[in-house]
Amino acid sequence: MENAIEIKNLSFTYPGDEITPPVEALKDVSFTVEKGSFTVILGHNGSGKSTLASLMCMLASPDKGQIIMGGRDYAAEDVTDEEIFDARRRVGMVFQNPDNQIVATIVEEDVAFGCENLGVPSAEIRRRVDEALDTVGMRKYARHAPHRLSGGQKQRVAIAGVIAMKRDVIIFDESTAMLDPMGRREVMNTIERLNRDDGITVALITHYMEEATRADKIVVMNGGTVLSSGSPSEVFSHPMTLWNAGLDVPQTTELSWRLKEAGIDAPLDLFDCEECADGIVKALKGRFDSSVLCKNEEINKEKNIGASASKEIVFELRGINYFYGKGTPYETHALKNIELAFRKGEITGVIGHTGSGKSTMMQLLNGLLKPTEGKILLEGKDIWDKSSSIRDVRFKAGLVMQYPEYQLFAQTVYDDIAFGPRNMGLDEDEVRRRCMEAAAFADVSQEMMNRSPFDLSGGQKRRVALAGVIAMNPSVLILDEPAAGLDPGGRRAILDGIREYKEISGSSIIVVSHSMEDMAAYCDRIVVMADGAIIMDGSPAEVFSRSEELTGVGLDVPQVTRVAASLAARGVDIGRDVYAVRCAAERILGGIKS
Amino acid sequence: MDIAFGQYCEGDSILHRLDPRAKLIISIIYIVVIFLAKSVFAFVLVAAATAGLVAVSKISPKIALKGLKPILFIVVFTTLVNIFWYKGETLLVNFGFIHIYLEGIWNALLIVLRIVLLLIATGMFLTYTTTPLSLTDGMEQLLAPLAKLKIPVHDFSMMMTIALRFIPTLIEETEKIMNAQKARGADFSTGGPIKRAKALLPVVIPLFASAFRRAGDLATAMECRCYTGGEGRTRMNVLRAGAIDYIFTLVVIMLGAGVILINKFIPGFSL
Repeated sequence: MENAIEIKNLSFTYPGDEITPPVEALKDVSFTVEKGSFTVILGHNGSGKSTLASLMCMLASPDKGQIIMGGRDYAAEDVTDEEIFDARRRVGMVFQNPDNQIVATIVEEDVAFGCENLGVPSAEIRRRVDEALDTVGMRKYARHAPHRLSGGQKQRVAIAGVIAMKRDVIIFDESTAMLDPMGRREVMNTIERLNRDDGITVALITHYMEEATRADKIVVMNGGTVLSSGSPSEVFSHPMTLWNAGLDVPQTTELSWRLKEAGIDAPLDLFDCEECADGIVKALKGRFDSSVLCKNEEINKEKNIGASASKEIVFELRGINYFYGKGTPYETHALKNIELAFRKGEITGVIGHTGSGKSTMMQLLNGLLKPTEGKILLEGKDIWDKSSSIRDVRFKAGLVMQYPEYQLFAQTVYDDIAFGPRNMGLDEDEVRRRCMEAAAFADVSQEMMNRSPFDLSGGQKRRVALAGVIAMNPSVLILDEPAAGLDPGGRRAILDGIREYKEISGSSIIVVSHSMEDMAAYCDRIVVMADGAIIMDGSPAEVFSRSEELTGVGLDVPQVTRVAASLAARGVDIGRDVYAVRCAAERILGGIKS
Repeated sequence: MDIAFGQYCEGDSILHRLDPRAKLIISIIYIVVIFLAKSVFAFVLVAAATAGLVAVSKISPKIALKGLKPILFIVVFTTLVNIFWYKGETLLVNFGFIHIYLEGIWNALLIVLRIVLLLIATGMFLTYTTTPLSLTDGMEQLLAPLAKLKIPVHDFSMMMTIALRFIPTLIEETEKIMNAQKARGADFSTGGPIKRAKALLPVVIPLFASAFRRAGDLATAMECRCYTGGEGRTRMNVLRAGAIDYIFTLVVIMLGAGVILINKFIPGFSL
């Protein structure tokens, strides 16, 4: 097969300055992207994958090595500016942040931007723009203002801008990382369609495993080198290698791997839930018997441990109604008769699709919005009561917003973490004690404390921002998508820190997230919202066992829950309440006839 | 949250459909016409024409008058200055150090009328019926010949477009950051001016950091889409002046001619 891009022995080092040492981002990287293929470049943050993308787009030139396209080495010394410009016409790129790549104030003007730069005649631009908007399904938004669109829609506009330029190769640099599940699905479907129907070569950079399974080929990057490459089946057949590189594998693979470790030869390379279930059933060779599982006391004991309702209530919503624009024609009823109590030492996950009212609820809890009707009781006291100061409420109900790293401002990490405690009027000794404690929870090292927060990596900044809220010792910690955009290692680090904080401080934690896998793994209790109302409230097992209702309101269930359902349809009934891979594996193994 | 830039009002009147370049030129002519008017009858004609504009634009007169609110102070101030300081021939009031002349009152009236007409007319042409984007476009194409004099016309218009694109994004971001800092106990609403300015630092710094980051990202994205400046660029929407643009321009020129004729032959009360 012909190669669209051939990378040979590529090395690249970011030059350092007085403060930061030089960083060797790529070391001797070689791989090929075949024409018409769907190649995924997988790697943790800082593995060099984004550097690779900018080199492939000719945004920088490598220190050593070759980038060959159509027989020409674009990293060679004698490449002219015209040639680079020409290469850029063939390779397009869609970036991570949907806001930062849209230039014009009207959708169709933005799609036309690239063609206008190339000097395409007006009538031809018009034709291409309409066609590109049709391809991404955004034709009816042609005259809209981009800032009014959702993240997924913005990314589709950006994709339309690239395809209107008639590129052969499109590189997606973590283009789905900042989107909600619905947006991610929209964009992934668009990408797949472009690859399949229009024969466009796609190179997708990501750290989402589900996206990687759709590829023809995966290149795994680690520490600036290629760790492994091959088809998804080949790459995911070695889960240990990926785990060690700070990555993850799909839950189907993890389940099969756990079974394999226990001596059941389930195939690791089936990523579709149905196929995976088939594979497991075949590997079990009829040895599974659900009556054995029912009698297995050890597993049933674990099953009965639910969320304990005996714990003390810290935070309570009573009869909450919230309207946006009350009395105007745009009035929307964002929250409807919410009755909810949050208990000490409990992690409550709030899930719901975008627009379900969960963000409004977060802002109500922190006193950023005032309920139209109803009462919010914090430790038994109405937070909007005249006698309580809303500022004190905010100290007690700490809120970590989405992408909190964008609010860091102080000269040093220490000062930033100390911002909250100092606002509380604490003396400097107490401030210091709190900062140190919070830093330990959020895994912020002492060495980092005197550095500027702006010099840190994305994951580090996120942890500093978390420490800044923990330092106020809130009795309720509210987090909005705490792990959004982080790679699997970063996700685990931040979520583990939150759990540790709960265990030691006994605070109540409220997490809003779209990641069902994370919610299943970390929450004691899950509240499901749809259209401004609470439709489910229970332990993860209870909630995820009602998967039809969840999908009915546009939500996913963890992949392993779907596998369990497929297994049940094939006579291997391990219950509908499975939401963690470990639990699924234990139940399958627990039901094996001796 | 949505900010109405210059209060563009969606609509489909003749004014909405005029070429932005025509609107720019017509506005300039219109301003000249307003300043040419001297005779009271000329003023009546211009005022009637302006009222006609509002009617044609199908924008409610209330909105048009609302646009005058910000200049209320200037109107009052110029009126007072003219009434009390203008020295004419017909003394009306002579009380201590206060001398008010008939000519002063006339002059004040004239100036106020001019300012009001000017704002309503330009508002009708340029803000209420023209989107900022097409205005920028029109300006760029109208000033294109200046590029030969090495004036970076295209770059200025690109800057305008990007600013218009990012203002709503940055406003949204400001809100988010303010909320985040409020959640950490920041207090923006109490204390003296110095304390308040200081309290804004935790908002302004991340906002700048973010604006710079966005600027960097956008520059890279533009480079990736082969942007190299205005040279060799084509446009998807080419502005084409139609008959209606010429007719409208002609009508306004005729209005000017009418004003000059009235000034000359019916110079009633003119100064």
